[in-house]
Amino acid sequence: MQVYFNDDPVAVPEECSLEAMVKELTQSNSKLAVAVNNTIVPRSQWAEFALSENDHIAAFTLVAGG
Amino acid sequence: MLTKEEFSRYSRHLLLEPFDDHAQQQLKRATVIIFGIGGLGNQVSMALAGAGVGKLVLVDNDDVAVSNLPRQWLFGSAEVGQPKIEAAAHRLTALNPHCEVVSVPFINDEKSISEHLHTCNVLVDCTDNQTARFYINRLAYRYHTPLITAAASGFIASVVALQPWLKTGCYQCLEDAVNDTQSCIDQGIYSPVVAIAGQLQAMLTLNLLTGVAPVNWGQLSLFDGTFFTLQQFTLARDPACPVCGD
Repeated sequence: MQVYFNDDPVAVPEECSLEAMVKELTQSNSKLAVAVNNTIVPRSQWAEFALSENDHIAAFTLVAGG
Repeated sequence: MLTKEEFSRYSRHLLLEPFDDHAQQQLKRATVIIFGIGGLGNQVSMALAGAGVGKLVLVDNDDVAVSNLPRQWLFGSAEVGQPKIEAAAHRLTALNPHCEVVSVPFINDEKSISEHLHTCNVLVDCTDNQTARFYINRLAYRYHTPLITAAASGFIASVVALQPWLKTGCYQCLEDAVNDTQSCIDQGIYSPVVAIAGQLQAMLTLNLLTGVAPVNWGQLSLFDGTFFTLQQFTLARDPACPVCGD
């Protein structure tokens, strides 16, 4: 199926978890926020979060400076 | 009741349709604790003092450095070496003598701010490291006090309004998303970016205190100064969060 990762179309297997997709498409997931359809998914739920066709996934890192 | 001078001072806000004298009096009665008087805290404190917030509690432990001056506009060359809270209090009082400014010199000493924690309307997190941010988030959770938090580094800024005790998500829920090594010291900071973030924090605070515009709790705004984009995401509570989780 097709999803969108940071606005780029990506083909992923059916029943693909968010965790599997993040591992596949990012160099490091040590410090990363991931949102699916504009809602941030807690890391503790990545493994069980099943992606759906045409989901829009955004990955980004937050800073702490001020 | 606003004085004639106050009506004149705040007249450009009072001309706004939802911003009546009741809203202005809400500001006058409000107490805001600002943690950190760096790039963010400068913007927030100037905006809130100028707008007529009655009491600002400034919490910081740093002295003014010459490298602060390009973006921390409360300070000039003459203030280099002075404690930030003292220099800021002086300038803010000059900006608006109706605003009471209280300076508290320690950031991780709850006793020094406990009296203000019981009476304040909102906490504004303008600190520059994750440890302080987690601490302030826990204070918001324990004292049931709204938290407006922002961060900026390089060309990136983020802002979010939180009510952690309602278990709708808190700053700690973002622990795995925050790269604490990307600080202003390591990465640099583009002055307009931190100013934008601070002013967005100030606007959320004024919206909360006056009710003139809604506060979208848990909506994380992410500004990228490189591409001039603003993205918005909804924060979800992490059931495994050590602060607000199950």
